[in-house]
Amino acid sequence: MEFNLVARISEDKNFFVDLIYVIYRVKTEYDTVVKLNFIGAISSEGVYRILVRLIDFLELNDQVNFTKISIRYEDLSDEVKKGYFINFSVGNFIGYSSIECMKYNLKTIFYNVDESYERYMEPNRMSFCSDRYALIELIKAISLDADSINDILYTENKRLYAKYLLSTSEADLLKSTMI
Amino acid sequence: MANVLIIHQCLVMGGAEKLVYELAKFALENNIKPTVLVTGGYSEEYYDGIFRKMNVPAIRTRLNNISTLRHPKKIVKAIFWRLRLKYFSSKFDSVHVVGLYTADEIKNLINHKKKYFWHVVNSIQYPDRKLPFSSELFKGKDYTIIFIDEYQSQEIEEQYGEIGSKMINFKLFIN
Repeated sequence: MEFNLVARISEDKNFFVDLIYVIYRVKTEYDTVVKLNFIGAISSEGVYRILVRLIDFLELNDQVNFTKISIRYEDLSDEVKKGYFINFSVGNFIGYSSIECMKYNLKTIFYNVDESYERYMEPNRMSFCSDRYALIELIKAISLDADSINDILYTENKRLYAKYLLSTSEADLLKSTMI
Repeated sequence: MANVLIIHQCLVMGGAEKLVYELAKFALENNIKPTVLVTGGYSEEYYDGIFRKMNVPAIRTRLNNISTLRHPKKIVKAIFWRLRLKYFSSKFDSVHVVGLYTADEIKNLINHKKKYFWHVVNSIQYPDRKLPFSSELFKGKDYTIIFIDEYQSQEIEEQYGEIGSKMINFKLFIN
């Protein structure tokens, strides 16, 4: 199973450790090997060095890779595109990288990084993991029946993506701020 | 034809920069001429080339600390833009600043009746959930702060108290 995270390695998105923890847990407890590919430039050498040391200590070197440069979704290899893409969310909020990810029909999974907003999150969405335990559960589910989970992810992603297109009234509002 | 000025600090491959791009693209599609002003450095970045292809001027200058500039052309350009934003900004029908960090730095330099400041981060991205903006930013009456998610206004009120500025919500979007 291959997971990707598209983000700069930087201090303001310092939730990378969570993912290393998750792949460690699923390896030791469920014997499931998840490869993790960090796609993005290293903005913070300090954050990067801590991650490398943690990966080394947990003996996950064979499972984790850093591209160390930013790569556009359209330039990723087909092999990489077959994997799952984890995106950080703040409660229900997702950023442009996530929207792009869904645009390219990649299997997009959201991981909430702000636990104080867990209570506001829309329920019953498989693609949104409210915390690390939910992500572990999702990985378990994928390892048992990837095809069914993939179908659900595609459906949810497609529905969510459509919400980022502007309706006529929204476009009118935006236009009125410009003219 | 209407003109919109979009200000941001850089044009790297990132989320806030993608918003600058989508705003410019939206403007073009609606017959509004966008001009992008980049205030955080002179080196070419990811979206510079893209804006060139779209025929959108992406101008790099500095608006603060002009006195530390050495190159005469850069000094003249910086002074020109300072004056333009202060005294001749009516060439633009509106000014959009992406990112409250930049908005905070230049809010007093822009004299324009139609200003929008896009808030593009959340508290969780900062140590101890403390946003790095000045409290005056949320008191100003002559601009509108745009929130892109449902938590941002609450986060600001928790840290700074009641927001005195005008506010609207607008989702991230793709053209």
